[in-house]
Amino acid sequence: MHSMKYIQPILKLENLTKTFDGLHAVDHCSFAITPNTITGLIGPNGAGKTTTFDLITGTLEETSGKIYFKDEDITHLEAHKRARLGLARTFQIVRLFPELTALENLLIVLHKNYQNLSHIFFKPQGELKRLHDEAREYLKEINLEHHAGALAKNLSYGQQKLLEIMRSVATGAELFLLDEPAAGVNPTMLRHIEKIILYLKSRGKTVLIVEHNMPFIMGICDHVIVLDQGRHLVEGRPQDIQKNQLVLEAYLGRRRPTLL
Amino acid sequence: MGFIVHNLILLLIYFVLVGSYNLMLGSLGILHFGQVAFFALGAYTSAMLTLAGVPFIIALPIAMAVSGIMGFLIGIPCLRIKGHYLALATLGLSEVIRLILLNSASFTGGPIGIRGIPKPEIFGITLSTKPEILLLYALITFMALAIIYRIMHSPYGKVLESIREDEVAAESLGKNIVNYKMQIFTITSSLAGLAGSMYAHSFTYIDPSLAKISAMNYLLVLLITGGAGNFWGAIIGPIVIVAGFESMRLLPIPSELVGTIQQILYGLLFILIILFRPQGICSRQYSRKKITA
Repeated sequence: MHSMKYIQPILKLENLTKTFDGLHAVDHCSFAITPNTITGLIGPNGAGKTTTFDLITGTLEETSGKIYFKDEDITHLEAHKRARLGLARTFQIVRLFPELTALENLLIVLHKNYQNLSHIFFKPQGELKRLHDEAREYLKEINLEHHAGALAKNLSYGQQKLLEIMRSVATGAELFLLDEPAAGVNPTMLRHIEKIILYLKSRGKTVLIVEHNMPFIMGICDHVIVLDQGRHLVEGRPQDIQKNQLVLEAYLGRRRPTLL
Repeated sequence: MGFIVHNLILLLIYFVLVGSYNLMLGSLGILHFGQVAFFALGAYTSAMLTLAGVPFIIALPIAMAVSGIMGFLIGIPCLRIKGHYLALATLGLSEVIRLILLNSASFTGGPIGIRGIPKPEIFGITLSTKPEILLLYALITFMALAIIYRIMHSPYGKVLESIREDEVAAESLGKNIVNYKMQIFTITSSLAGLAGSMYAHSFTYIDPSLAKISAMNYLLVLLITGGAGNFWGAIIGPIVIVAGFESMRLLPIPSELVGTIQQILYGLLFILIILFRPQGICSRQYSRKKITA
């Protein structure tokens, strides 16, 4: 069952630490992510999951520790450079461009090779048109093709969530960090999101998910990492994690010794 | 006739000044108060150079470069950090530039300003009449507006809007937001320098009041009335306000009252726009080509 072959991790954290005014939001956290897997990052509220995401993507600067992506040390790389290396993310609270249309939200990503100042006079019309059609294909995937011209802020919450995930898919990244993709969406939407995540895996991509919806996480993940108070608590297969005493204690508190 | 040509020239200068400011405030959503400082810098640079014997055709690009470089230098510390530092720094810059112009009298003429600035001259031909200047300026303005239009209606311009909408998201999608901001701020400030040069050589008289903060307020009223973020907003705003207010002079109002009444109307108009049509006459969405499903 266990192959001895060592697979180079796509993402590796080493003693990653983030301190806010003396509070250790992430505390000497180390873990590695195997390529082409779906990994769940779970833990009680305040465990440091979103902060870990912010550190990996470069939105926040670490206090100490190292981050490796595809063997490259990205610890001190700016956020936009990390994204260009193949890191994409979604946010806990949807961050679309509200006053741009659904289509434009995707074009911001798809037009990435034509967004220099030099392109204002040299516009490869054919290529832009092709990417325009590609954006419409993405919209069709999430049943938004009839809302291409709608401002993102006017879409329903579930639609916004799907659009944000699609926008990250459109980057063509290798590693996807999804921050609570299942929060606040109805079961139909959730199945849709699940389909997208499995599609990513089938295309050789790697997905790391922060999520509180346990049935969703346990059903979709190959591997689960549990954080507690900024520390790496335990990791393993979903079915083992569900039975793990440490995890139960982290979520529910330690069982008090009974008097009798 | 002279009155109309005079105001048309003024209008062209406003198109360049407000149009370039629109890139910062409208597309990028960054407020700054340096536009009049860059304008004055361009005007003085161009005026002093031509008075020293440099031809207009060379003084004009140098004026643009000086203003552009000033913008670039201010941008380095201010655009790297998040927050309203650029607004504060440029507010200071405007005052500093105005005070330098006011107090280094031997150099800039001090409060008297500079008089007798040469009229524009191209290839040995001096454009001495207002209609000739109008023609040349129409050409220059057209080119400047073409650049602004292309910026706003290109994938590049969409990235500017995405930065306005959500910097963190834009950055997480691989956009180098500091680069975009620096480029636009440099372009904006150098176009303000261009407008300054145009002003100096058409009205042949400049003084430190060009950099007054009240002039900056006026620009804001022009752009916000027209509609920030829409290319046409920076055209419609100046047309409506300059035409509307200048035509007041034709009404039977005592000329000493016109200025006062205009000031009151600016304030009133600004309040009404903010209350009832904050997106301006041309709203941002209006500029977008309708995307049909």
